[in-house]
Amino acid sequence: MAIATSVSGSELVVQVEGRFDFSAHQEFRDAYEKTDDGVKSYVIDMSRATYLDSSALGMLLLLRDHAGGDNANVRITKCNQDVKKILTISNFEQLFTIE
Amino acid sequence: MECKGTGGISLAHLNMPQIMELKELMDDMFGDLITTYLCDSEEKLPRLEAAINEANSALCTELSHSLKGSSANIYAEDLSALLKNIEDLARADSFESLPDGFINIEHEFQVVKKELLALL
Amino acid sequence: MVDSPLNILIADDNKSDRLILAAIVKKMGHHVCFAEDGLQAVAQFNEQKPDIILLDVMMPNMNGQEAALIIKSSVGENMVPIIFLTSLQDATDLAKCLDSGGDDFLTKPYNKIILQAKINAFSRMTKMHITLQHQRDLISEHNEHMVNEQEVARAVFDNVTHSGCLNLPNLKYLLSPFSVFNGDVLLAARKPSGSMHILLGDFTGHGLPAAIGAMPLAEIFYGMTAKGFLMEDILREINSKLKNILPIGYFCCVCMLNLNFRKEQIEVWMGGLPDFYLLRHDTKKVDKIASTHLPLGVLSSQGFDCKTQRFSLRREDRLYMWSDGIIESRNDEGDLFGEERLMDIFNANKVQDNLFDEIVNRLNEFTGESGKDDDTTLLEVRMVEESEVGEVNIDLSSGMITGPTDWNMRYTLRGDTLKTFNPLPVMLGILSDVPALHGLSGQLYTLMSELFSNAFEHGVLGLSSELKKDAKGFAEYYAQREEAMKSMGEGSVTFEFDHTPTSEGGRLALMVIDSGGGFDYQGKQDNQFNDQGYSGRGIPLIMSICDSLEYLGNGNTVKVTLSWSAKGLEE
Repeated sequence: MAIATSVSGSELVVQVEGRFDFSAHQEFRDAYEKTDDGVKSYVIDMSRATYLDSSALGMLLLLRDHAGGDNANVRITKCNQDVKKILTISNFEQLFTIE
Repeated sequence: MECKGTGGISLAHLNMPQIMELKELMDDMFGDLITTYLCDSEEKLPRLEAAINEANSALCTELSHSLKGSSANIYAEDLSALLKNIEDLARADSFESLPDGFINIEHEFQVVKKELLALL
Repeated sequence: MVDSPLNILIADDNKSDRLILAAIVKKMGHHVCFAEDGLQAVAQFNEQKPDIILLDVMMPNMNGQEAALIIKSSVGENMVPIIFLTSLQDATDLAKCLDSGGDDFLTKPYNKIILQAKINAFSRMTKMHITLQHQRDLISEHNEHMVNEQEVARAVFDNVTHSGCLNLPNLKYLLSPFSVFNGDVLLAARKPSGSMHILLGDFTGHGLPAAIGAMPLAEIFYGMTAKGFLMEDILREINSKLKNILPIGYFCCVCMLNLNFRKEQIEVWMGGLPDFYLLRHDTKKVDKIASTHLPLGVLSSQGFDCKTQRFSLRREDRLYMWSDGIIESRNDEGDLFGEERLMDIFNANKVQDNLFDEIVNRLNEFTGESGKDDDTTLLEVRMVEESEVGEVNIDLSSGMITGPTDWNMRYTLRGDTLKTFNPLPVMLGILSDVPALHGLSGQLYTLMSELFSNAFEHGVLGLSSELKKDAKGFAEYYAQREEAMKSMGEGSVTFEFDHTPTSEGGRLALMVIDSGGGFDYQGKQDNQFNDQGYSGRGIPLIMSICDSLEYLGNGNTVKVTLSWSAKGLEE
């Protein structure tokens, strides 16, 4: 479990690696709370995430809330099959742009 | 004067700097310590001699070990080394040279006793 | 010189050695006690309870190593450091001292500075050991306390969440919580109409934080189901409650069913749970039903979508529902149980009655010793004839036999309210004040529901009941209904209840008047309201409940009556 962040322009990219579960809670939160200046949109790069559980879904909701709730601009990208499936079951495409 | 380790060959019968330190530590109990040591040794030495003559290996080992320890603790280094020698031989059950060794011990003990009493 | 003096046992057969050691130890400010051989050392240890023992190796009666073994075997988990006093030089002999339970050694001649440093070091270790023991005991005491509290809270929790009808013969379930509290909930309750509401929920996380949300959820589920509320209303209420009380990021994945035994139909709302399986009895075909909504507690009331899906479910068809704990169970190698294994069990199954046990057994074999890391819940629902699950059991409050018997009430719904609001629970609540009618609330609900939908759909919306003859017609009917709803302007449905006392008990007359154009009921009178003549109006069903039914005016008014006897109640 590791979180890496990078900012390009007004976009914050958060890359999640390994199992995305409760153990990432604090680190994930720090990732968007500590790099907040001028960030208008968020990209969660799942290319290196192997799995996510319901607490990870909760963390995504927290990010969405932080990013402005219904007006949030959060994209979840490069999900593998397993990750995609969990997001789909929960119908998270209604809340996030999933690419 | 240099400190000498136990069991080494020593020039002095008593390691003086060490025993002066001990005297300071014991304070007014120093006299008691010397008297106790001397009484204890004077009681054990004849028994050690008897044990050597009887070639009683166990008793000989026990007594020489005990005397070796208490002598080391009052820094009678030569005496302690002689007693260690006896202990080792007794443990190995080789009693041929022991009676000679004991004479050396008697002699060394008298020297130590004299020096200790001089410190009181 | 020291904050807290220790009690130190000096065991040495040589008096002069004891004197020297005592002088060193006392100079540090500690207390001393003495022993002259091994036996005495053990006795003094038991009597004086020393904190540290200085133990000579070679002593008469019992040597130091034997004494150390005895002492160490009796200290239990307490720490009593033993420092061997020795003039031994041989490494093997020194090692033997430590093997027999010694913690350190001190060689002759005794060195004051070294002995004092050792005593200080062991004093620190002993203190730390005592602190750790104390903290450990405290933690274990707190834990015990907490588990006790949880057990009590659990009993309250179970009373609230398990007051339903999970024990009915058409249900099989497995609830396997990961800790004392279960973050999965499984609720089932009968509606006044005889149908059954079932809810399987999986809260984020597990244990107490997850379980706590289950309490309001269960209260709303049971309370509203008993009052005859529709699934949509219940879900909307639960969603809004959870949204209010749960922190952001916490939610509940839910599958809720309305199992209609009479229509052999299920209505499903599903948000966030894995696909559930629908196993057809005759063809053995498995249909997967997927989640179409976000979990409960995520969206605000405005954004919440309570749209349900309907499926026909014939007798002996079965549904299998589960929390993600099932599919995500892991074996010793860390592999997930997964959907493929689940599907394999369905494909291999021969006797459908055994399928539930086959899934449970397979799951247990799979997880084996590895234990689990989430709550796991599994449910099988079988469609049966209503008689198999029995009458709806509604409590009759004793004493008050008759209740209010002489009253009249008129209730009119207009415009948008008519389109969106379900008036049945409110009306049923008022009728239920009459105990005799409370006992009939199932039938009354059905009665009012049929009359209301006739008045609204055939009357106000003007839809033809002829369409509802076959399945295809039904689809068309519902499509037309949607259209008509959109274009509907003004319109109203009025309920008029009139309750009067009789010598036996009471009589309820109910008139339902709609704003529609009516219909030609005269011609149908001869047919004795058989189903062909009034297709889809549920007349036979209504007749089976009421004493009389008549259409009035131009057909936009229907009147039914129903009498009850107090005698019947007392039996």
